[in-house]
Parts: sequence; structure tokens; C-alpha cells
Amino acid sequence: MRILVVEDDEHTRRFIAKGLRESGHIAEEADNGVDGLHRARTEEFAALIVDRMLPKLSGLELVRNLRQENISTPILILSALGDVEQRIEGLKSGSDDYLRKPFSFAELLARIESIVRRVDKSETETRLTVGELNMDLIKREVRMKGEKIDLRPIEFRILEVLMRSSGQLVTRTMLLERVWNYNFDPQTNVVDTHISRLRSKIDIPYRYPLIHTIRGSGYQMNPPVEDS
Amino acid sequence: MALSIPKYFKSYTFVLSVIYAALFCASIIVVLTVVYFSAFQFLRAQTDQRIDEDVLRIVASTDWTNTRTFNIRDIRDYLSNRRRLHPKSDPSVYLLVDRSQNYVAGNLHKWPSDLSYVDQTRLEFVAQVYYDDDTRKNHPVRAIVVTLGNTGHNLLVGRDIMEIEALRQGYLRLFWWSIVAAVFLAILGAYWVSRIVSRRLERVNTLSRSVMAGDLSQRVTFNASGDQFDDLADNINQMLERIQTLVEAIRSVSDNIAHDLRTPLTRLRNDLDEIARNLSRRSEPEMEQAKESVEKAIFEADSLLRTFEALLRIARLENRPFGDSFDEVSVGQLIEELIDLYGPIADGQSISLTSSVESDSAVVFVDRDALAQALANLVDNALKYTPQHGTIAVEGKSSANGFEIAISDNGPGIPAEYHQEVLKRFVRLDDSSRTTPGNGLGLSLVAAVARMHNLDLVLEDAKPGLRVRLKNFKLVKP
Repeated sequence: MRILVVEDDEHTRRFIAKGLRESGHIAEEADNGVDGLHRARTEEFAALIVDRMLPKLSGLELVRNLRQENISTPILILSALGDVEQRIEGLKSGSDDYLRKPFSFAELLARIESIVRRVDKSETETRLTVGELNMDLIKREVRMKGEKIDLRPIEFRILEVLMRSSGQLVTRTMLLERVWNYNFDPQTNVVDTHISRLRSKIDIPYRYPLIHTIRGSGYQMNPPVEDS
Repeated sequence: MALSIPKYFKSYTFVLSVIYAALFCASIIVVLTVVYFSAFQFLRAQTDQRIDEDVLRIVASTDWTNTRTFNIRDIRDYLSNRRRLHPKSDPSVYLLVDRSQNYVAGNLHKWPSDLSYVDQTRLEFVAQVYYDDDTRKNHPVRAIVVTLGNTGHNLLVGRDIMEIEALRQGYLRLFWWSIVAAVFLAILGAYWVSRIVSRRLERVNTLSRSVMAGDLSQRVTFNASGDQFDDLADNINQMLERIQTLVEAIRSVSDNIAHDLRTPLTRLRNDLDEIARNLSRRSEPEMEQAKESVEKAIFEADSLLRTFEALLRIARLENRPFGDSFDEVSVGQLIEELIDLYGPIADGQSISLTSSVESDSAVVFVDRDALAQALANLVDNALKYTPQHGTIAVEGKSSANGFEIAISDNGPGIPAEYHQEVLKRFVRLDDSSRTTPGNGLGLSLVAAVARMHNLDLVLEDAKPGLRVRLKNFKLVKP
């Protein structure tokens, strides 16, 4: 993917660009809002990573300008301001996600992949499938190898988030935001406990590992590679 | 207005005004009394003087100076044309009686029965006076008794004091009305003065309350009349100006510190992140240890960053005015989400985590995120300190002053003398700081959230264990 990084802090910009390149993406760089806006208008990008506080033109202004011109490139806002109001303000401007600094690169990458995929894939799917796991969003039913699995509502929601992003990293904070709508980090790693519960219902009984832990970052859902 | 009247009556200025008004009324009473007595003393003396002159004239009508005897006939003749009283022109009253108290002459027909006959006695009485229009009326009379030595006759010489009496009645009426009016005006004045003073004091109080609630930008309004209240307002405003400058200075210093420390820390973390990624592509066994060290370093950097984040978040919550970022939130749902989040951890530790919400439809006006984090911190704490097979209960119930959310556990609890202490930043009880993870900011954040919502935060002994109560939620819906 070709991704534009608009960030005035050189260290952070290079850290992101380098990470993106190492992950097999093409990273373009801009160090102020005006240049960023110009490049986003005139070139084709899969996604934009925009710092909230930029010289010349703020990140939020940049997003508003692009959205007014009906340029719908997925945008992730980076900000040192992480309170819920600022987050809401950021999302209202038309961006697709909001990430608080400091962040780990894995978190940033997971979120970028997630917003790009969200644009590609419709949210109105009624059926999700990963390997032999099927989720019917209308009947609120989950079947593994055709066998119905009884899930609590919270487990259903976690599984839904993971299945929608199958093949991609879903971080703990992403789960907290999407499942519980919490914008803070609880002190204990509560998410891990929920995941291990979920595993005990879908992975372990069927000896079919779907949910993989990405150490220090989060989880990823992948169908097992069949050795046949 | 209707609400504030009792307050004015209770106020110190009202009491002072009432005391002043009472003194004012007392001085009016003193003045009126002095005027009364001196005026009527004077009128009485004047009447007595006229009576004495009359007596002299009567005596002069008989040849008393030469003979030293009274000739009754002369006196009777003198008085005979005074059978009747001319009410307008002559208020003189006479009565001549003989030795056996029989009427001889005068415009009084009968000696008032209860009066003495002692010579030179001055009397005041009410008697029937005969008028020249053949009427008789009961009129007040002031008179003197004169015993006509040799004859045994008694003479009463007096004057009708009806007019003076009328004047006195009129004056007394005026007196009472003046007092009534003075008392009424004094109370009105006291109320008015206290209201003016209370209003101006109330401005200072309103301001103090909003300053206490965290808004340092408010100022007292002036009347610009240069009085003491304006002086007070001016001083308070200057004080607030100074406080605000200092607070902003401290805030910007701490923001700078946080920023200045966070930025290099973030870079350090990013660099470690990069090293970790580079290392993960290598599979030599000697790299394993390096990977582990880097991961440890990232973990430490993250926990430092989290501490900064928590500190900055507490500072932001403390400075946020009431109502900003607030929303209507269902208590039942909030608690249910909390239980959903922590339930599996409690299960894993064999702790029973239960919830009960008295009114399922209870809705409060709060900052959802802040309150959720405060409750999460409390449950988190309870889970850390409650032993296996313990219980943690989250309750929502109505109380005297609104709604309350309480979280109790049956762990070791916190000794009462530390209940305030643990709310301070970085304070951790001795034995827990080494054995349990945490940065000592969890309860400080709860305290900040409570302050931001004007809630009472109470820690108490749950016997055994700790109960933390967040009291005084205002319900939007019952």
C-alpha cells in the first residue's frame, strides 16, 4: 500500500515511515499540513497518517478539507491529546480512526490495515467466515465445523471484531474501544482473560487454533494451515 | 426572591439592622415622651395661673382686704352672672356651696362627691357643666378649693380643660401611630439594608463556589461606587488573578515536564520497538536473550508512559468544569459492562463478582468515560487485594442525597487512618507496594472523577474488607 505520513516531528515520521517500509508498504512523507493536503489531493494513496498538531495547517483542518472535496482516502489521526472529547472531535472531522501517542508500531499498523479494509469491505455483511468457523450476524449464531457454539453476548462481540479483521492484528486497545467502548486502558490485562475464555469455547474443544496471540501487541485470527 | 427572604432574616446584617432599628424606635419614644410631659406640664401650669387670677378677682369682689371677712352675697352676686358657661369665650367653672354643701351659686350644680373640701387643694375631675345653651355636658375640669374662712362656705374655682384633654388625646394617638410607623419603617429598612448587603456578599459567595469548583476565570462584579464592597471585590479579583497566574504557571511547568519527559521516552520506546522488530527477523539462539531484554525495556518504558498518562489525565479531569463532556448514562448498563469486563478475571481467581442495581432505569448525568475508568479502577483494586474465594459486590442504590454506587470487597481492607492518605497521588500502603503491581494513581483518579462530578467519595470498613462509596449522583430519571 502507498501511505502518506504527515508529521512534523522528524523522529516520529521516520519511525513510522521506516516501519511501514519494513512491513512492505510504500511510505511517503510530508512535514506540514499544507504540503500534506496538496499531496493528498494530487496523488493516489491507500491511507493517510496525519498528526493532529501540524505547522501551517492543523491535522483536523487537513481532514475536513479533504472530506469537503469528497476525497475519501482512509485517514488515521495521531495525537498526544487522548481524552475522549478530543477523540470524538477527531473522528467528527471525518477521520476513520484516532490513535494516541505514544503508540507501538504494531498498533499503528493494525489500525491502518483495519481502516483500509473497512473501506474495501462492507460493514453490512451478515455472514462472517474464517476457516471452518461461521458467524451469522442476523441469527446471532456461531458454528464451528457445523456445530453450534453457545457464546455470551460479550464473547460474541469479541469474536465478531476478530473475524471482521481476520488475518490482521487486533490490539488490546482496539478491542477495548470496539467491544466495550472504553477509551482508557484498564490496569489489568482484562482483555487477555476474555480471549482465553473465548479460546476455551472455540479453539481448544475442536483442536482448531484460530485466535493467535501476537506477543506484546494483541491478537490475530487466522485459519490453521492445513497440512493435509 | 421568595426563597431568599428567610436567608435575609437570618443574616448577620439583618440582626445588626434590627438592633439599629430598635435603638432608633427607642429614641423616638424618648423624644415623644419628653415632649409630652413638658408640653402638658406647661399647659397645666398655665391653667393653674388663670384659676389663681380668677380666685383673686372673686376675692376682690368682696371687701376682704379691709374686713378680713367674706361677704357671701357679694360673691354670689359676682358669680350669679356665671350660672352658665360660655364654652367658646370663657372656660371658667365655679361652684359656691354653703356649710351643709348646698348649692349657692355657679355653673356647676353639685360638688363632685368624691372630692375633698380641704382649702387650697388642686383637683382634676369630670363634672356636669351647664352651658348657656341650656345643655350640660360631662367635661374635664381643673380646679382649686377655696374655703371662705368665716362663712363656712366652700368655693370651687376651675377651668374647663376639655381642649387640653382633646389635645392630649390627639397627642397620644399621634404618639402611638408614630411608634407603629417607626417600627414598620425600621423593619423595612433593616430588611432593605440586609438585602443589599446580602446581595453583594452573595456575589462573592457565588464566585467562591465557582472557584472551588475549579473555575478560576470568574471575577467579582463591581458597583464602581468605591465603597468597601468594591474594595473587597477588587482585592478578591487581584487575589484570583494572582492564583490563576500561579496555577497556570504550575500547569504549564508540569505540562512541560510531562511533555519534555514523554517525548524522549516515546522516542526511546520507538527505538526499542524498532530493535525488537529487527531482532524478530533473526532466529539465532543468541538473539533470544537480546529479544527478551528489549521486551523488558519496552515494558518498563510503557509503564513509565502510562504513569505520565495517568498523571496528565488526573490533572485534566481536575481542571475540567462540571458538566463539560457530560452525558446521560444508564447506571445499570455501566455496571453491567463493568461486570462483563471483569467477570472472567474474577472467575479465574475464584472470586465472586456480583452486582445489584436498585433501579434498572436509573440514569445519571456524568462523563461516561471518566466514571467508567473510576469504577474499573475500583474493581481492579478490589480484584488485586481480595483473596481466592472472596467476594466483590458492586451496588447501585438510591440514598438520601440521590444515587450512590458502592464497591465492597472482603479483602484485608485499608486501616481507617489511611482512608484519606491513599487518595493522594503515588501513595501506596507499605506492604502492597512491593507485592502488587500499580502506580499509586488509581484511587487518585477516582478522587479526581468524584470531584469533577461533585460526588462524595467515602472509604469505609466493610467488616471485613473495604467499601468505596461514590455518593450524591443526581438522577436524571428515577
